Amino acid sequence: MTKKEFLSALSRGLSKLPRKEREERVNFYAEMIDDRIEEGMPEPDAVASVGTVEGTVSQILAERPAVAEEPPRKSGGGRVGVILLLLLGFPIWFPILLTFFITVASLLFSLFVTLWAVEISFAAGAVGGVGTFFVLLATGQAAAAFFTLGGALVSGGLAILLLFGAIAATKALWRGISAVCRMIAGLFRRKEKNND
Amino acid sequence: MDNQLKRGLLDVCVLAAIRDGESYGYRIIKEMKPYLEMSESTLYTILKRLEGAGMLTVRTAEHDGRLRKYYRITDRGRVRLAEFQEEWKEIMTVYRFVVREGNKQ
Repeated sequence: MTKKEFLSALSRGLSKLPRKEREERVNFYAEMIDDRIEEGMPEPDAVASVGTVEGTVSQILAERPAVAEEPPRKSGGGRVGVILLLLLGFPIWFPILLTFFITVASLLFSLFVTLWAVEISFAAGAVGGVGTFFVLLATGQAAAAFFTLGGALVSGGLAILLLFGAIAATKALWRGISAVCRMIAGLFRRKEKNND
Repeated sequence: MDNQLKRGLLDVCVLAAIRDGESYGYRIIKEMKPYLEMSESTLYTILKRLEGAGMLTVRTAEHDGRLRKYYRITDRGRVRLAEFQEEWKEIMTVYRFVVREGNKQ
């Protein structure tokens, strides 16, 4: 048997294999036979030393590692369904979502404004109280002056205490807003990646 | 011989055959012949497996007017060879124990 005959028969015997693999395997045998011929072996002997076509084919098929089955393609149906549902439900879910966000934002903003308003009131009360203390003292109303000073000190103390709370709340609010912004931006970035 | 063990041994034999420099299919078979008979089909499967595992690289070069594939061991392949030598020491220890127990009976 010539090399050409052997390789043709081998290729036919391996017709079940994917084309690329079949070609690679046939080329491998061609190289093996050529190397033997190059070493001085007559062509029929070189072919015979590789083995019979039938034997080679059955050995290849037996030794060939099982090709992993291609994972079933994800059907696009589910995804399309979700997109369709989102589009159709837009008039319902969008206003609800928007209302929710506006409500939460308004509540947080009110809390923020209230906290700072109270803080400023206490601070103003303290400053005003101290001022009034001096005015009352100058007009000879000592008892009222000291009563006002007491009030001013209490107001000042509360203002200082509340200042820490107001700063902490402001920081927390800022962090919350940043996190929400990052989350929304992240959603869009992920969508872009998915689209790539 | 257990198939898994045989497979591991064959892989290491092929790696050992290309340890000292790149080689090609027929030369690998010839070098291994005194120690182990290996068919072309088996060698092809092992070379593919080792290539897939990153233990060798393949290049195609022209030789005497035709193409020939050359196989070169990678660092990962050398690590596997070193691992095999260590594993084998352990196996030999167990073997000696087994043989000694067998001789006592």
